[in-house]
Amino acid sequence: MSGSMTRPESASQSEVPPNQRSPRSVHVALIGNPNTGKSTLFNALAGMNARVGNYPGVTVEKKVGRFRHEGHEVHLIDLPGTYSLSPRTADEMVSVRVLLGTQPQEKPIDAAICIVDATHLERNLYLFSQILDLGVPAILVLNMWDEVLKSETSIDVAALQERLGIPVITTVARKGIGVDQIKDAVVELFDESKPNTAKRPELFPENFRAAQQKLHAEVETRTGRALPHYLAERLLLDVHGETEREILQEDRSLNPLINELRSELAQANCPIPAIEPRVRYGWARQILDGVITKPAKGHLKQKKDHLDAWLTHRVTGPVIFAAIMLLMFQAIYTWAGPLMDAIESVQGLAADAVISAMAPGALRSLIVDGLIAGVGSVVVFLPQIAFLFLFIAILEDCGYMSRAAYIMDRLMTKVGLSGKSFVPLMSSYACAIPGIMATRTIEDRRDRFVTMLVAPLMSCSARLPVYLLMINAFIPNEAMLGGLLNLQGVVLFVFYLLGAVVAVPIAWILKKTWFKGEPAPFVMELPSFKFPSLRVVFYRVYDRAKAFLARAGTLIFLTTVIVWALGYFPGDHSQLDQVMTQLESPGVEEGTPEEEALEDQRRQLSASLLDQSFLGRAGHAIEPVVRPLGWDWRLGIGTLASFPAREVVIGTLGTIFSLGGDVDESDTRLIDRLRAARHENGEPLFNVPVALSVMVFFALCAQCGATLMVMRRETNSWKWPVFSFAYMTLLAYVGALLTYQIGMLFVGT
Amino acid sequence: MNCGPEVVPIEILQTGETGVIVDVSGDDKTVSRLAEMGIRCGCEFTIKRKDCPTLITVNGHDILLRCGQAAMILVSAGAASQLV
Repeated sequence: MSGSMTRPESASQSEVPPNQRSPRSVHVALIGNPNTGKSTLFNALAGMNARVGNYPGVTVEKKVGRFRHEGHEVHLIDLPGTYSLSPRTADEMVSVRVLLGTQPQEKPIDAAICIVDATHLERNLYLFSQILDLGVPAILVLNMWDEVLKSETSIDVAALQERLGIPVITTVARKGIGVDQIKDAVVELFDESKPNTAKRPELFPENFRAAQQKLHAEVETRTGRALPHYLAERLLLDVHGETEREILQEDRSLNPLINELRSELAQANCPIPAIEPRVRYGWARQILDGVITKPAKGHLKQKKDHLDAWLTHRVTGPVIFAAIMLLMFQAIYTWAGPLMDAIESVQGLAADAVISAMAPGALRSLIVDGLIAGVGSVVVFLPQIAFLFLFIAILEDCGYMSRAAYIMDRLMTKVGLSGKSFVPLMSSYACAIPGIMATRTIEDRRDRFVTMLVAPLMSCSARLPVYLLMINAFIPNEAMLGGLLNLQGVVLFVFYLLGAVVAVPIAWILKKTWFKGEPAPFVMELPSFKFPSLRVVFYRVYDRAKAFLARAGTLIFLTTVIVWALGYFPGDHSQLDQVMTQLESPGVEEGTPEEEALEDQRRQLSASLLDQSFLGRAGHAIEPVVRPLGWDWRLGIGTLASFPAREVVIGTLGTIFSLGGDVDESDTRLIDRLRAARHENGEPLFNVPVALSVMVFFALCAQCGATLMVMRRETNSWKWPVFSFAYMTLLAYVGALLTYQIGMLFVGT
Repeated sequence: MNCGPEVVPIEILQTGETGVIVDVSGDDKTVSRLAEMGIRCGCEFTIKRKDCPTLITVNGHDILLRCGQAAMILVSAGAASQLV
């Protein structure tokens, strides 16, 4: 790496001095405005080598990836989409720190790739001018170049590159066009034979720079800290911003000086903060003057507006939204069916293979009843999860989600929130964790907290297996509206609505009590419609499917083994093993009286062993609590075991009902086991009210340790996760109780 | 800020009307945010949908503003219409 790349301010604070780092390993940050195709470019550059994590102490998602190009190992760090690098919050400060090389646990950045929407250069250059101010070597990527070519506007790239003195590359990220040129440009930045031509514009007037210098020197004498020059600039510009907060925390006595400098500047026709947009847009206009040739004004893009007129209309907008959602759940239900059957048959074959290869005993029971019945029952739901994420990814990527936020703003203001809460809530339908993390886009603190507290009520994908299992097993598959819909799909849709409907009064109450206040300002950009990027959609589905399988392989696996052990021990299984060996011996023909007697014996032995097990004893102890919900002890214990993660219940029920031996050993489908499950008096365990009561409980309960942990981190207090857990569990119990009791009035006993 | 003739709050304009933004007022944070998104003095705009929130187009960006928000933006109506 050349010496000219080292920034004096960051070198002193970096973990690894640049000269000690391998010259072939470089760190590059990716930054840009929202909706410029940044994620698409990231995926195109890094491909499968991406990892997602979190920065400590803040809510910013950390996405890193890497690629190799001409012998160089390039580490890529994806910064959140932003309109500016003016840090107003601790979250926004992270990007600035990463670029300055002062973010703890992060290697200093060698260069920044700034991706801009080529059709909207002027505004995008605002952010870019801040990157130049930071002093980071940069590459400017003009994305959506195909749109420019299609339009009558022309951009002189060579002239732009000449004026900026840095590489300017045109790309169509979603088609992968120009991606290799970016890689070349990154590698070339570190070619020492090439002169550094970057031009650092002096944007601010002389008096501003003098004030900035003065402040910089004063901070250094008082705190002993060499503030990066960019932060000295921010300290002056961002009134009540994050830089000001941090510096004043170190030394309060700087406050009068900052205020004095600001008011001096204001008098000298350099008002803070208005000066910043003035000089940055002024610079952008100057840079673009003669570079962009626009057609004479007239009817620019009118075509897509027709679609928007329908989608955002007061009446048709919500109707279309509801229709899209209903179709989505219908599709998930219908399309995933064949795939589920395939996974189930593999599960059955695996169980058969183990049964025929091993003699009855504890190990075989662990594999068949614990692993195959437990983990297998969860993996079956992979197709649905993938389809759900597929739909959400498509809706997000094509720009529809923002339209939905617009439609929903009117409704959201009725409960005191804004349309900005809509996207976090909608993503909570996939998983509350990214949903809660997405609330950071809500600037108003009260709105953000209320959104976070109701987000876990949205029906996340982990609830889907529970709904599907119960619906498949106990809701009749009846056609409705002449075959257009079917009852099972409609019930699924209703359950998906349930959380949102319940969230309305909860949010309203929260806004009236703890989080009183005026509705927050609402400004949001509506991105233009585009064809969803297959790459982005694919990676999002792939990431989620991988995460789901990883959970099935770890958390669910572990819980299943524990539940199996608690259900298997203590107890003498020798008699049962004997019966099983007899049953499986070649002499016993199916259907003969001898076989049926043995089968009876097996059932009785299994049931009594499960009853006497640790699990059985605990279950009977809690049975009085779950009895009013229409549940027996097995459902009670399954639910209890799923408090850390709700999807665990499938595996747990799989194991419990498999150990109980209600059904044929060969029948590995959990659904058949549930249908066959009986109370001790021989009555079927399930009927429609019981199934609905289970579903309502799972719809409303906060059974997700990870969500509560994220909520603690985001709110920086245990108070809110504890509150969420308490109110949701109460809601769930009362909801399930009412469902069962009212349901039984219709069914009759 | 310097005001031209016929300066009105943006909220009184109707769908399809155009104008130029002459003043954005409010707390510093909001004004800066709006400026970063491209809503600032001297910008031409079109009201794309007069509703709550209002959808306006500024420099090719479609931006949603809640009614209360829009009141802080003063505009010179019709100034850009001759250009269209």
